[in-house]
Amino acid sequence: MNPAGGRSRWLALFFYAAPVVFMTLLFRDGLKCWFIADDFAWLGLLRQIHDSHDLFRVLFEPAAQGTVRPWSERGFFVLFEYLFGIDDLPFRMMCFATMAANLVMLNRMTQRITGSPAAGFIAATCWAANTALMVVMTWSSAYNEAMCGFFLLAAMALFMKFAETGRRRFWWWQLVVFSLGFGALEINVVYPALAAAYALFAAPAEKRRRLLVSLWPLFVISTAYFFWHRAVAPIPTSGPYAVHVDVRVFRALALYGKWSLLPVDWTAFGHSALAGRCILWIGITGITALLVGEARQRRVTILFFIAWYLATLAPVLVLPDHHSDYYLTLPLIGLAMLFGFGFSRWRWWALLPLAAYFYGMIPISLSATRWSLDKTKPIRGIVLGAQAASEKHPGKAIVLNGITKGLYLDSIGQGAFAALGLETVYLTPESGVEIGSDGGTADLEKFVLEPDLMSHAMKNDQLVIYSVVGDHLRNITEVYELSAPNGSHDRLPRRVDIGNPLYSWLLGPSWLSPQSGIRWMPAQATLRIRGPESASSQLELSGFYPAEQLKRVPRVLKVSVDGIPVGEIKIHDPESSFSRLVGVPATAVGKESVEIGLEAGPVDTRDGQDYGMVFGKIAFRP
Amino acid sequence: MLAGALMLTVACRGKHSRTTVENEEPVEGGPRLASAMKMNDPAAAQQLVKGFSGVESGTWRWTAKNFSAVLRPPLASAQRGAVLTFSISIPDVVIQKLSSVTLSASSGTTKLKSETYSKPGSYTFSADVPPDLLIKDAITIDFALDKAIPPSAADSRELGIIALAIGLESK
Repeated sequence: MNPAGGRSRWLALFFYAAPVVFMTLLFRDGLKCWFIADDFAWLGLLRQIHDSHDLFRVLFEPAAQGTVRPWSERGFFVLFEYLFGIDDLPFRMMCFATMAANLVMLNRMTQRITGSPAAGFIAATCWAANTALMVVMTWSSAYNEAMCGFFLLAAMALFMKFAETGRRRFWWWQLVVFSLGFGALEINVVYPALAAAYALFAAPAEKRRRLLVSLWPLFVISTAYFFWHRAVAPIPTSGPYAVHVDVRVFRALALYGKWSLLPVDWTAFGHSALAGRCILWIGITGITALLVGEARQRRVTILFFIAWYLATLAPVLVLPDHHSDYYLTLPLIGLAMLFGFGFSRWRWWALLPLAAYFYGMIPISLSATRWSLDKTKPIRGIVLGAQAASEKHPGKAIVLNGITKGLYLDSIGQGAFAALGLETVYLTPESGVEIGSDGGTADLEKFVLEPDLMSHAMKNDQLVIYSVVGDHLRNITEVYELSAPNGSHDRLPRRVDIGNPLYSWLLGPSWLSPQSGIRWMPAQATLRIRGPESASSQLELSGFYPAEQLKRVPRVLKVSVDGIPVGEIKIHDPESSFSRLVGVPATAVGKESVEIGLEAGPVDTRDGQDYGMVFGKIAFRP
Repeated sequence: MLAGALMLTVACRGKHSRTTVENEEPVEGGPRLASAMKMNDPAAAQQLVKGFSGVESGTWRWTAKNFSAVLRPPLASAQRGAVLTFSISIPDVVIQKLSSVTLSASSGTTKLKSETYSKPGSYTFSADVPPDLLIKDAITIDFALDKAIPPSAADSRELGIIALAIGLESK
């Protein structure tokens, strides 16, 4: 064995492995981060799959905001939840493994372009250190960025292999990988531009024309995808994702440029603003000097790295009202290659800007990852705590006290309990006040129990009350009942959630059993409720009717209050979910109890049972 | 790789420490509700019903901006009334960031007392509690601060003041 060859093999292995180890150590807290926010929407998908048709719909049906990411979001969550259940670790490991593969490919790609193993090592380490990767490294819903990076880098690696060897099979494999990349993230659409930039700026001059011509089918695919995507998800013209092509594009570019070199939270984590400015200007000066140096030498390879950065950033530059450093995950591959390239040119002179870059990134990446972990701990506590409480107290509702707005928005408001199949977890009235009804809390009413209902349920031993204590729950039922902060009045509530079993005592005998938060009525049904506050109050009725049955014939619902008819509601196709307001008779105002009568028709009859209408909520509105 | 994936699948399936949480449940025949408690008293922890963080350094807890504790009215307080005593500490960081904080205590709709602190240090917040609030088996004391350090990149919690002990004493 040749000792020199052995040493070089070990060195090569070190150059590939060290950035991966560095990334794993830097973001190690990300391996322990639990599910948060959008994760719960994806975790709920497995419960919707009962057959192959459901699986196809769940994987490929465009979401409300127009995204179709079957591999990186829906498929990822459905498969991993199916295999591992609600266990965060396999999800996080998959993300780390994908990012590790990305680092190796980035390393290899930079080595091929620059001819320097050290440049590949620097590029991979620079990308791994950037704080913009924190979101991907801590949040499973951001796995799409890691997977898209995998497809882009793999396709590029195959294209480079095709450029080097001329073998068509690499071109075909590139086409396959590129096409699959659309299932990861829409940004995959820019790949042909990246490959063209490689052909123009980094490939040998004699092969450029042939390589460029070979890319036309990829441009056709990307163009077709763009128009298909526009058809299923029209470009937003309002809201945070509204697209505007104007001077703000350059402002966004400047902002993302700044965040690429200095973490967005640099001062928020207590670091000096002056030091931040120094890091930023050292980085800008270094990049400018490198560009000028290359331009004077008439060398264009560097333009490939800049093209990568700009092409993968371009789709978010046109969103002037929505900026996030996490969008830099893929563009930073271009910047990282530029850093590696700069090192291959300057060697030791490059150490100053690199040292400034790492000095800015490493402490914030560590702190931000720990911060993300801390943020998910109470979410884990309330979601798994509610599950444990439900198992310990079967048949009883679980009521949570001390929920803050942040916790609500990151978990309960995102369907965290539904994702675990927990149908009878609610919040105390005090939690409802704490969370408030502004900004993003549209479903809050569904969870917060009215004081009168809470009082009734406590007296009838129908619930168990827990407060949030960091990463778990504490049973405070006895204490809460003893202090009874909202009194122990015996009034009826003014709102009835028909599908909530805690309201069953207010329903007449004809209602069917509740199912997943809703309940069918037959042809006729009644319920009791406290009378309205004033004659101007209105009765709100919210419910649902299956679309297929509505298509055959519209439904009519007659409503009465204490036997006095107050409205006749018609529900037509395609309005399967309905919400209506009807006036109330003056005689009902201020009464402790009124009877609401409902008569639905025509009814469907299955197995001898009449099905009239599905209800969610009935309430008096002031 | 396949073997590794299979082993991972088997190891991660089912219930284990990562997929379950152990809640604090009341101990059968455990101690009754306390009238006074230190923040590190595990038996009394269930009485801190809202806005208290976990015990730090074995003695104290951060509060949020709004926080509540439930206490047992002491003997004869329903006739004579009681004094609420709340041992707190205002840390430097709170005064540096907020310059001063006002702590208010109430029970239901009855306001008990407000006090403003503009220097860091240890304090005892005291307030008279009228007898008519002490006739039940328990009383909820709701505290509110006018300001708190909002959740930040450095700490994801809302930070109010430091609580050391709380109690009711019959007059």
